[in-house]
Amino acid sequence: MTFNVGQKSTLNMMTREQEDNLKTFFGSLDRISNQGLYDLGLITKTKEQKTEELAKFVPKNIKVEIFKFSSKLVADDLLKFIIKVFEEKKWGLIELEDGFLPAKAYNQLRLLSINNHLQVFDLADKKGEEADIKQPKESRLIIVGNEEVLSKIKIPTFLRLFGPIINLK
Amino acid sequence: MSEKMPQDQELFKTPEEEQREKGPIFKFAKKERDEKGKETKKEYASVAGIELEVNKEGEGTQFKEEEFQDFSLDKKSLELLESMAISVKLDQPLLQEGPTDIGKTKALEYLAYLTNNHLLYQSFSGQTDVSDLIGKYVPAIEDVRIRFENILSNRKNLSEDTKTILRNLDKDSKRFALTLDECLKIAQNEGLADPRELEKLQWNWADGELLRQMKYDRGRGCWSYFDELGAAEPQVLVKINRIFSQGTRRISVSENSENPTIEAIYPEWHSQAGKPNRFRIVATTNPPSYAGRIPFEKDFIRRWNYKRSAGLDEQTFLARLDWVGHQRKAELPEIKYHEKPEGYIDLDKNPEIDHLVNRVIAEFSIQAQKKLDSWEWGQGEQEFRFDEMSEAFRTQQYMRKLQGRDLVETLKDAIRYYYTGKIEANLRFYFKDVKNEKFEEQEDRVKELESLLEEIISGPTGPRIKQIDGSSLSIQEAIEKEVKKLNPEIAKKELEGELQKLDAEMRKSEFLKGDFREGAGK
Repeated sequence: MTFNVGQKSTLNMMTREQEDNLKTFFGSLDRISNQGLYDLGLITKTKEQKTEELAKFVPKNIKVEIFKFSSKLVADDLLKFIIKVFEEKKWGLIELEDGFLPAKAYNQLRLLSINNHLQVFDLADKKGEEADIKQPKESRLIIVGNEEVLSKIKIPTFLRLFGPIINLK
Repeated sequence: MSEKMPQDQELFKTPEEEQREKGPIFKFAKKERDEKGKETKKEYASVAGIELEVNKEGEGTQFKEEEFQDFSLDKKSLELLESMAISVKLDQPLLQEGPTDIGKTKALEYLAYLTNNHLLYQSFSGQTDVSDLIGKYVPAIEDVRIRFENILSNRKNLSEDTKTILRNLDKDSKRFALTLDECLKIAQNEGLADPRELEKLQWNWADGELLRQMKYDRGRGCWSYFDELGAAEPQVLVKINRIFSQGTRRISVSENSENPTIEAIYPEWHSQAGKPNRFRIVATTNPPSYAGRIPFEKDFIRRWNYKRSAGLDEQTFLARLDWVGHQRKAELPEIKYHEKPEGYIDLDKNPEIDHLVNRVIAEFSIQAQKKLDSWEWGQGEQEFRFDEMSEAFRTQQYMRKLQGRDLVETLKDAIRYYYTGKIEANLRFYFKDVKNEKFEEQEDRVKELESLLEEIISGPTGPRIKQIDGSSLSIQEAIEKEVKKLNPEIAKKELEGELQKLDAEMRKSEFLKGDFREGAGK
């Protein structure tokens, strides 16, 4: 499909420029580390843009998993997804569907952003155990949400979790 | 000639220089005798002059050497390491304030790695609940427990009755957790299970993060990191404040009369079992100017060893960039060694000297507070007091456990650490030789406090100690007199030290003269 710069592809609901920016965004997450640490990324999308479509712009050799997190789920569900992504050395795109981000989940995202570790305790299948899991060098995490949803997150330090941030509005 | 130099230079080194050559961080082993006289070999890490025992028992650190390949040892990281090492050594809770990205977290992780201690994290956000820290009752059945926890973590959708229960807990500073009855009511309000089935769910107490850290590794405890403490809600801070106000940091959570009191077994367990307690707490926060951050209450600040650190100066900024890829070492300030030297003055056994030390602490606390009261503070700046007993007691501990070669110098360092460090923590590293633009606004205040300290210790307007012959001495002179009286060996050793230095200098100068003549001859 070809379209002009500034014209939105119906498939991705993005302009060519936005697509290029998104490729650069994923590329920088892939290649650039900050003092040996891999950044968390943040994508602000429109309601119409689908996370599945955004994932297609991740470099071809990388396997991506998508997880949709909302208040119907619990923090442990999100943590289990992250652990799985790390074990399989994949990238994880986490879409926040309704702005729900409990303290337990925020804690772990913060920990990942400051030292690329997860420190989980009492996960359903590992009751009473503490697990310290290091983010493998192959894995990255990207939070995705539309502007309305992300504005519902009232954690003042939320944006400090991230390295690269892209707005696809 | 130049090839011979390194070998010849060995002749010129004083013992202090030899120690300094090992760098600011190194490990070493020491043979020590226990109470029964049995000799054991212990490993230590010397970190910015502070000796910390390397943990050899139970769970060790989760960090690996390769994680610190990009950790640049520069002035700022050394300052943070020293500050943290002192707090860890003296078991004083540290609250380190500083801008993002100066390396607060990395410094603590590196210290945990060096000393083989496990570090557990608690990041604070506006959503952190006191039950996350202390604990709560939860149903034993796993999926019901998860649903119950989710109810508590998503307050927006709760019924008014439940919101009232949670608000009451937040408001009551004396309470730490929800009672079992309250948990049952919440479960009922939110439709967790049929009301008749609720009690059959086997509700058990689940420790929160802080209790888990205190009890970690079968009660030995681990290092606790409170990250972004400034982002915590005021009601959470009030409850944390209460934990520290109990002095012993023992937590009694007796929220339900039917259940026994729940206690963190620190520190009684350790003393009873003769085990070392490894629980330490370090908190960090961004300055009050950051989003989501309001200054702490003065009452909260005094529970902590609060220290403020400026951002990176240009030299350190550059040093960090130069480290990446090249491991180019930064220029580092002189390290002071805090180990117990020969001639260590046991202040508990020498009340006269201790009293003189206390006079300086008391005088400085009161006079510095007067200065603090006279300074204008910007809106939103963190406030604190200098005339609190807590700082004076901390200074006393420093004098006993981190006494260097010179008692008066140690006293000055202790006061700089606990008092001036609240204005600018990196005094030692910036004050004397380096001009730091970011430091300018604090510089005048720091200088005023430094002058005050000098004046109290040795200045003409400072306190005078009357002697039997009618003369009077400054506190410094009086301390020195008492110390010499106490042990003539100290005076002898001081003299020997001076002679060693002179000898080294003379040999060096003779050598260089010879070198010069040789060179001139060619």
